[in-house]
Amino acid sequence: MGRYVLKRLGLTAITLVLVSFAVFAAAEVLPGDVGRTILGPYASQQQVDQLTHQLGADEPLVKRYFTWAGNFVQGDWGTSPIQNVEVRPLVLERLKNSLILGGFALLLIVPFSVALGVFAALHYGKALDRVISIAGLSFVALPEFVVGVVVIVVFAVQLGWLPVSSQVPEPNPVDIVRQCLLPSIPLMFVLFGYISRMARAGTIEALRSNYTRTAVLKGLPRRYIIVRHVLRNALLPTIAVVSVQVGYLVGGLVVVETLFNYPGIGQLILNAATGHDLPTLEASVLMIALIYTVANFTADVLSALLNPRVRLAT
Amino acid sequence: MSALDQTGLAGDLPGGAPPVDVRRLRRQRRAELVRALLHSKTFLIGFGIVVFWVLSALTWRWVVRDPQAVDTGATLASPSGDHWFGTDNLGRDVLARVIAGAAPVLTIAPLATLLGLAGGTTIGLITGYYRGWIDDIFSRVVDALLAFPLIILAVLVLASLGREPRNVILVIGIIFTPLIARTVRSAVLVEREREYVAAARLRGERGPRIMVAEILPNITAPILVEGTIRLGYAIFAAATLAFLGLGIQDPSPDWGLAIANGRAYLQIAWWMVLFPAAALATLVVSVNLVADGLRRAFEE
Repeated sequence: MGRYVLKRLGLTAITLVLVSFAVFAAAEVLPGDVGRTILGPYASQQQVDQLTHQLGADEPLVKRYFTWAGNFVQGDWGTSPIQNVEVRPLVLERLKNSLILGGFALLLIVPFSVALGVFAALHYGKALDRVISIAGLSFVALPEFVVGVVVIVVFAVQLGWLPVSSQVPEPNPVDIVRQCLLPSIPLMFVLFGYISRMARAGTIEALRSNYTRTAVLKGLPRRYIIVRHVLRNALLPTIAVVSVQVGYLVGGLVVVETLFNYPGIGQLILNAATGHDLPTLEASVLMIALIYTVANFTADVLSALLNPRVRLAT
Repeated sequence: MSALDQTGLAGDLPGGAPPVDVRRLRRQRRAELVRALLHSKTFLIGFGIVVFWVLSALTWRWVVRDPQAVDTGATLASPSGDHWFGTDNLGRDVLARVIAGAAPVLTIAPLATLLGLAGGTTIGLITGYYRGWIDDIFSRVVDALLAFPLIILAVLVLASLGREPRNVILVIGIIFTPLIARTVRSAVLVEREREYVAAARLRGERGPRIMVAEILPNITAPILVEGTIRLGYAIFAAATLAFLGLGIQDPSPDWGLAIANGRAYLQIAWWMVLFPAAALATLVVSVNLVADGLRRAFEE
């Protein structure tokens, strides 16, 4: 088990290094000149060249990568040339806001989706199963901004129950629900589709397995079989799906935060990409990759802990 | 169909099975498939809605008024007998724009899907058939790509390449390529172990010919299902990029763009966003229902 964790940790580190280089390279090929962006269209070419040189933007890509990565690891994430602020506090603040929103959505929807998925599987082939499956299938397909504008029009504009655009919530449960509920609904629609489908498929597979048949033939009570035999095996693939969805969630946050004008990291990435704010873009995309790889690592370790076949293997 | 039927050798073998009419078998199978599809209510509903939007995309010029025509006397007018779906902030008819808005999305999404299918099928056939190092490299690349929120990838690329429809098609198609390739690859991995592939090798057929003439015709079902699923995602992605301001631009009647424009008027003109939203929702959901129906029909 210890070796497994170490191996996964090593692979995670390698992935992160590769992703960090990809992020840096992708951001640096954005057209446009850093110096020109800062100084505006009326500066002379000489001034622009001088500033570009001062910023070190005319060095070769690999060299710049190592400078950037070195500074990044030491906590110096640079200054945003567009907003004229330190990148680190900005990105961390936005990240915290997004974590509140994304965490809220996950916390509400994961137990609900798993429960409905398992429920559908236990009623396999019946009308309820079809309804849950088709709902999941349809919800996955709905773009977040479509669901988003509908809930805004209904619950914020017509009924006036919740605000049209969301602020960062005060640290109390009432305000968190008030600010996060509407923007998390579009995310929950998509997540529900994926997670309930996996939970259903996993449960059906476990129900059809030989060990479940043995348990039934042994005369064990149905409740006991479902909890001890079926669910334990069915939920393993679901954990993996939830961790992959963390990656989806970030993409969804870009849309939802834009729609609700919520100051999270998704909105920051979109603005940094369109506004050519490289230090902010690189730092925030790298943080996303970090969160995603850590989520995957946690899911792998968690699956291993729950699965004796992996846990006990040397 | 077995390997021998395909080679046409079955009838010539001494004491072998009687010759099989491959064409008749194929016709039979197709009839079964159609019957299974006609039995599925969700497939029929989805298919009907998709047909409706395709017809809208093709014929809106003759059906509704000019989506760009401005009625200056009636800006932000609520739905009425004159403008069934109301008008937008410039006084343009929302109904006309919703019907005409099927055209851009049903141009970009299918083209992006076709691009992804072409690339994905080629890579999937090669990696699945040859395996080895080329397959290993490909798998690593897909894993790395999936470690990235795809919409952020698209945002990065479009911010650098420019926001023309051509680039939207390219970005979605290129992102789809490895995803489709993965599905094709796993189908090829099963097929390459079949007898007909071994028979083709014995006949001296070369790799490319085996892939295209032997394996490809036998994996059209999973490719068709994957293509339909991807089409749904392509509509999703194209609309989202338009909404974020990275896709198609004004004055196109595109739905994602219409919703982005309507955001500023949410409080006073819900019709500007709800009708395009409903149009987009019905289209993506019904494409998914069609994909689900196809998958079920092929499984039976």
